Amino acid sequence: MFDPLLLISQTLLLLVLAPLLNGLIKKTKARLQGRRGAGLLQGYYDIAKYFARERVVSEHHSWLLTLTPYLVFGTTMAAGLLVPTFMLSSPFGLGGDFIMMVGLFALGRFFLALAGLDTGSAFGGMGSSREMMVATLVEPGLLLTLFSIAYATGSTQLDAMAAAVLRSPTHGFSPAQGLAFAALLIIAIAETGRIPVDNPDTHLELTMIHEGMLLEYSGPDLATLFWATQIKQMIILSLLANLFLPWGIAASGTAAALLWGLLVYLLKLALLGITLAFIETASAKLRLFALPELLGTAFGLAALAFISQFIIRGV
Amino acid sequence: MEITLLGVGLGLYLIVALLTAVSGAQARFAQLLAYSGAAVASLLVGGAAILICLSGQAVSLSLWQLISIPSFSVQFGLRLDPLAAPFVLLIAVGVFVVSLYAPAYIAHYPNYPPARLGAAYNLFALSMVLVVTAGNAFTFILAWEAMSLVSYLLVMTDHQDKEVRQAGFIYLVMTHSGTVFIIGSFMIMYVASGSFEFAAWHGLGGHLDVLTSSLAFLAALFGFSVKAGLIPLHIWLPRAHPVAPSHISALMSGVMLKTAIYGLLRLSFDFLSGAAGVGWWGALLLGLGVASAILGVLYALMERDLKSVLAYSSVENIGIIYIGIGAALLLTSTGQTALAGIALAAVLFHSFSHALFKSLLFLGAGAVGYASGTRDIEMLGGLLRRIPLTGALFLLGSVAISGLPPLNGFAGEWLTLQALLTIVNQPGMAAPYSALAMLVVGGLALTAALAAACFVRLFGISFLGLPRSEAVGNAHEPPRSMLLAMALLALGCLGFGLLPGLLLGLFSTAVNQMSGSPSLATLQTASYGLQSGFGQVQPILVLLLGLALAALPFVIGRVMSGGRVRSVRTWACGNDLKPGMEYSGLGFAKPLRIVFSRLLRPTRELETIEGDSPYFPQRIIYRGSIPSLFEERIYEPARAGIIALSRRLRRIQNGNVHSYLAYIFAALVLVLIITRELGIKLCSIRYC
Repeated sequence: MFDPLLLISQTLLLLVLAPLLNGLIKKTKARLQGRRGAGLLQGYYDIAKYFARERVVSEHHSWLLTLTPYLVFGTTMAAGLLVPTFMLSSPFGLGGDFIMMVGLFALGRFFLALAGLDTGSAFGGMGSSREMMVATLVEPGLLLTLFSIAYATGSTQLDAMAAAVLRSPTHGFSPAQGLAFAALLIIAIAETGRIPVDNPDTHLELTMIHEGMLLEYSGPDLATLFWATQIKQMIILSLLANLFLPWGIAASGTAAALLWGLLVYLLKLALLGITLAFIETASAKLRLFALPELLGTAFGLAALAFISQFIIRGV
Repeated sequence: MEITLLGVGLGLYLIVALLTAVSGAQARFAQLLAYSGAAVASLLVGGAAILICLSGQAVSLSLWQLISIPSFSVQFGLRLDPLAAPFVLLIAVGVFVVSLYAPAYIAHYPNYPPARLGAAYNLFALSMVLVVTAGNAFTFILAWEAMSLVSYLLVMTDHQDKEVRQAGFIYLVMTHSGTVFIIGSFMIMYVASGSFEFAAWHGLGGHLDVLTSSLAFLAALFGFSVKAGLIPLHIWLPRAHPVAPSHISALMSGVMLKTAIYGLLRLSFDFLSGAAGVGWWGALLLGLGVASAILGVLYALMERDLKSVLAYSSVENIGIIYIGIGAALLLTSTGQTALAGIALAAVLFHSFSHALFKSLLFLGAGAVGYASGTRDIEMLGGLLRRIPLTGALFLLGSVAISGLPPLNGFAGEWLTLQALLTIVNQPGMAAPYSALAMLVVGGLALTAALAAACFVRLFGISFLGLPRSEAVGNAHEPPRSMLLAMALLALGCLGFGLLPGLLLGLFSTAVNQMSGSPSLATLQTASYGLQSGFGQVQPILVLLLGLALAALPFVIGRVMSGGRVRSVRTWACGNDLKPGMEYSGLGFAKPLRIVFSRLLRPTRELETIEGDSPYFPQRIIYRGSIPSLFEERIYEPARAGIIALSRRLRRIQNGNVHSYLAYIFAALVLVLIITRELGIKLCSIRYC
């Protein structure tokens, strides 16, 4: 459950790869839109640029605004270490299960929303208000999907869930898994703030959910928040990859298995990222009050996944 | 030893109450006596509770005869057993902390009578402990009534205000309606067992047929749910809790509601344990709990009074506790009493956690009222920069109540979710119950997200941003004693959140008594985290890891940017930033108001006052409200129906002495016939 080497390597993996994954998604979107797009490594240059700039803060801010970027980063990384990536065990599995992971994301979101209200600007308030609304719609679906997999696998620890799916007689192909995958994909779009839920590329009022809360940050604070958002995206895609497509993950510690596991993991992340980019390009952003229907669909799919587990188990 | 502590503690409450009441107008002396006496008594009583928790023994104390006729005698008796001990501890902790807070708070309001408040406060604490340690039905009902009446008096502290009088009256009516049903339930159990002693009622569920035990259960459920503030019996709660003085609201919301939870646990797992085929009781509680949780927090999101939000939030948390009790009942109904341990641990843990963070929040609301003079969040703002200590403590309470790691609210919700997963995974569980548990998981997740939204709104609008009115301008920190009380509660939230296993250790004996499961050591990990059959969490490790990782970007930023900071005005599209530009509480909750409009049924009214031209109105007035649907559809028709019925019955009061004499004669004949019939029946049962 606790392996220092895996802890360090997964930390480095999350830190280093997250901007590249985001860059891949952006490049794919650009190509699909007929543009050349920025380079794959642009994300790194952006983060480095912001780290080197001065912090410009509102004169009305409080210590909450100063604390929030680092708290969000800490919670996101801690959640990331609960999730299995290229190896079948989570480096920090003894810290918590998926309920803890969801709780950590919620903690980061709580403080981000509060800090949006901190400076007294209307954009921050709007972002906070909408973000909490979307969170309300997302959390039931997210927890129910993960619970349906937990029910099937008999554990709430993420690495045990991945291992059970790998070992299952149907190798993870079952109607319940398919329904849960569809639900979690919709939720992933909401959690990563992508079209059709939110637009990560603009700072216009109409599309401000996540971006609205980030408006008042600059310099190292902004760099930290961008990095944290990209890491969260990578964590959610890892979750999708390892809970539903766990084949190829390194089950043992041999060099060959680890190398193969890493390669397969990178490939799965790339594929999922490209899928997200396709979904983003193919759809338009939904009106804010059309989101309950979309996210309610995710909840319904999760409930169906649960019920089909009953039928499979013969309960 | 424990009995001595308990007895001395209770006696001290009583003596202090009497002395304070007669100490006349010497305000400072009365305050000192009342609250230091209460604090010392709480320590004694709490000590007794901890000893019982650890030892697992039950102790009893018989005080004096209440009734003594040849075939029938009832004592005023107390019994402190492991089931009651966690609740006694909860009461003791609550009263102790609030006793630290109260003197400075009351001193701020010169129109409060300090001697009478202090006396009533001690009586309130005394009655709550008596309810939880009552050894027989008579003692219980006496203590329950005393608790209701004294809390009514305390709610009515500001009785000059019409709103306060109305709130108190509704509270009185509701609590007495509930008490009637509790008495009814106790009567059923008396007839079944022949005694009023609680010890004799253990396991009665196994001896009664399903109909009788269900009747007893439903009657007591109704009665206790009125006191607990479960939907749809909650209408008194958002009226009474905001108008009471803040330290009393803290005790009512944090502590008094838990006496009802105690009653429900005693009923379900002591008196009616062994009842078979009663899974539907658990399902009923699950359904009521999840409805209460979701509706409670939705209403909380729509309120603009700081304490009303907290009151509705109590309704939500009681719903979560009921989910835990329902889960435990479902698990015991399949015969898996040992597995119910995790659900019962969740109930006790969440009750205790709620007592801590709800008291903290109410005391914080009192501090905000002290500092700014208003409870209306639309008049506040920017308080965090003016009263930073209060703000930080209120923030900690908000994070705890939203169920976020690593605080105690998260640990309680984790336990509840694990209990629900246990239900679903039970091979012997009927499919409808498993499906219900699954839906309740979704409901609980929705509640948690809504609670987070509610407290982002509450804290964000009140403490952050720019001040929205003059009230905030002169805000200053409350006295140190008030801050100390809040800090102690915050420390408890943090401590029991990081090391939840510590608290579970104390509750082991209680859970063992209720479910017969082995000690809760199986639910603890090495670092006092939590584990179940499905997973584990160790919040303290996560905290340490998170802190270590958060340092990374901080260091990088410092190194690369050199720590340069420039302070500028907030961008308001080129205009000067004014308080009216920031989000209001109403605006913040608007998206949720729209999404949940089917449940909330908001009303809105738009009035335009035209100027010279219809295209340039002089004023636009917007009126919106959330109607209280339960009052409109249940209570109003019931009230109108009862009044209509009594008007019709009043016709027998026709003012004619001759008809009154005829009524007396008819009643006498009727009574004679009934007692003869009843006498024959009772004789055949046991009384001859």
